[in-house]
Amino acid sequence: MVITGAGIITSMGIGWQENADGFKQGRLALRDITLFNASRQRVQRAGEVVFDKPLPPVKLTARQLQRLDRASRLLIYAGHEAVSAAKLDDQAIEEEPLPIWLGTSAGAMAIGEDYYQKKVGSPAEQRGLIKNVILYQPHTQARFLADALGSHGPVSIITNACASGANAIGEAFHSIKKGRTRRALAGGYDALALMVFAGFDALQALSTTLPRPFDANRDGLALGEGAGLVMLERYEDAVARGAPILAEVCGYGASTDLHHLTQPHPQGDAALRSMNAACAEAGVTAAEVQYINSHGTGTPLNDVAEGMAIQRWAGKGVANVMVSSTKASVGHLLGGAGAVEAVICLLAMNGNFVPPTTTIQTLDPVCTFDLVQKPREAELNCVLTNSFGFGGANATLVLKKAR
Amino acid sequence: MSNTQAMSHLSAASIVGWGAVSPTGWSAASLYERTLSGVPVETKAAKRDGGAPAVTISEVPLMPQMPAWMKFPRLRRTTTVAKYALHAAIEALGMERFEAVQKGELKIGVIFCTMNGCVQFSRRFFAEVLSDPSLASPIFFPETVYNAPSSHLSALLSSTEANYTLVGDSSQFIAGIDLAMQWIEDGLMEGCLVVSAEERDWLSDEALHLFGRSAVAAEGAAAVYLSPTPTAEAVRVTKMSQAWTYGNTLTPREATTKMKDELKDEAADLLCDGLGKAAPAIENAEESVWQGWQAKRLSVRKIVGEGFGISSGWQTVLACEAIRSGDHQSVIVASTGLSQQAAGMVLSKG
Repeated sequence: MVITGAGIITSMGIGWQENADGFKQGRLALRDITLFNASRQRVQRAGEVVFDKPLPPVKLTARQLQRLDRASRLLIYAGHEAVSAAKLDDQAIEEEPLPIWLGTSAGAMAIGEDYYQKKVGSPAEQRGLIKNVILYQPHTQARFLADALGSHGPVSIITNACASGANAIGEAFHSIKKGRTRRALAGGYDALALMVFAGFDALQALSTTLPRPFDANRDGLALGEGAGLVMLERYEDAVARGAPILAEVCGYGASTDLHHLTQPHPQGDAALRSMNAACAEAGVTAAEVQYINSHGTGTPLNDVAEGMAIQRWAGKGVANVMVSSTKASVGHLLGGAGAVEAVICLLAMNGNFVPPTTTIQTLDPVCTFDLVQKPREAELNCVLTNSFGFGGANATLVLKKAR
Repeated sequence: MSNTQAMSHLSAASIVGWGAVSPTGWSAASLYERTLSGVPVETKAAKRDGGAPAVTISEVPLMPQMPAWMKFPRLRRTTTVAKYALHAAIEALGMERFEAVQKGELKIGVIFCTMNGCVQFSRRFFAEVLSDPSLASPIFFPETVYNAPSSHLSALLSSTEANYTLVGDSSQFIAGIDLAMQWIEDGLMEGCLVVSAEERDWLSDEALHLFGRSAVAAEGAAAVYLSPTPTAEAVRVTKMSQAWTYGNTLTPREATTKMKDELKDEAADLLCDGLGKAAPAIENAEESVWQGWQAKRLSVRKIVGEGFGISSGWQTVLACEAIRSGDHQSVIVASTGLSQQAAGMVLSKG
């Protein structure tokens, strides 16, 4: 199973090249929030996307275009890029149903917030609210994406918190591997919203300084937004139609952490299980994995649990494994994180670099691995990406350079 | 090979247990008996201050007896939707299997389907945020996440196997069963619970009212347990339609027609349909496509109200009860979803 196209939009930029350039340098793309009033929060900064390019040409009706919410726009930018890069033409999409697997944690939460405020502000008012109710639902955003691409296949939306995007790619991978479909579009997305932002603030999980994953003095995460999508298909189909091959997906593991609703097992038990499962399916040992794009949120408990899991997984070879967290640059994209970080792995593999975590001042002792802090060139043949979420949802993907 | 789903997985597992929570009570049996009677549950009007519209609701009665497992620590501060989900799930699983899973003797996955999710805590938390962010409760927020109920279920079961939450419309439960059977066919686990649940709140009640003034907002849960090992009362999924997604190229009526065409079954003598929806366009689509159905039909929505993501779960539970009762050998479950897709299946005695 191979990836023949990828699309990405983050606060780093719109599209493959802008993100490749930014992540190669380890540039920070956090900015003051303009989407909502964050003045009463402890933190006022996030990885907010700047829409400085027009929406790509898509097949939506004028009415749909007028109704597009922020999350749907993120999806369409990334989805259009993934399909275009895969060189999949309109006829192919029209002739065969294209299954779409998406991960999100909050969907169009801002639309729901708007509905609530209207209902509280004017309880008797009903005009125009049907639109909010329809647009709020994540499957409406998925329908916008499908219609934008002219696709008519089944749509599945996984909401496993911050593992959702990786789960979506993993399920699409398995459905192709098991012969249930020939190709699928998969990924994840999330848009910034006040309620979610305030939720992480209430948990005191947001950094009041800079997100510094794996720093000994880390004080939390930054939130971000964006989308990452990949076109997955059978190797023989990709070759037959002369499609570009960005990487091979070779392993997916998922597990459930029972320790606590929001805290990982301190020794990283569930993380270790998902990493082992993904590597077992991929048929690779820890020694063969050169780079890990970690979940690395920058919260005190998460990073040490993941670090422990990486130590246990890698064993004696732990010092040879390059690790970084790209959440330091663009924030935590929640349901979109796993998919966006999988696309960042593709950027790294195809651009021969390791995306650094440049905000670290004092390395946490858990980092017995090679925590990459400065831009580094490297030819990556096998990488792994971790995604762990609230509720104990854990997911790992293993990608290899195309044969 | 075309880019369509193979159906080999349908032989991988059977439905060997089911459960429900609904305005008819805390069991699958109460849902079936009431629906068979054809008498709608009692409803009542609810109205907020400030001129908000009066809505009609049907409430889940008080739990007759709290099972011992409900004292599980994680459930102390959780949501109504999680409690409904867990109760239906344990009914579907049965106490013997429940204990086996807890002991690590049976590896099962969890698929939780919902449309609205944890709306009560979400609304309360957001109200606190708007009032004073510094006082917004860090206890509420994690419980607002879509996958909190399924996380509590896995924790109760001590199950570290795959656990997915799927957000979709009222037909999502059927797609959840499809995925569960794939997981079992792939050998990822020895069984799988598919659960759907919703909770009422004025926020969602008034949202439903926008689509139809006579709509009855309901709540509860439905669950089935799928196993590769059939039992005497097992129910097989003999046909499963694709989930036909609505869009610019496929109307709900067209999607329903495609679904119906895939479910042709001469032996089926009961249709568990989804009629009773508030949304007129979707209701008309389902009604027109199935208007030629001559055999018996059960319309659970007309009895208990709008269950959003639970609806196709309740339809499935009814079908299982109908087959277990011996009254029917083969039953069609057809769902024209509220806003996403049409999906259906044929269930037969295993």
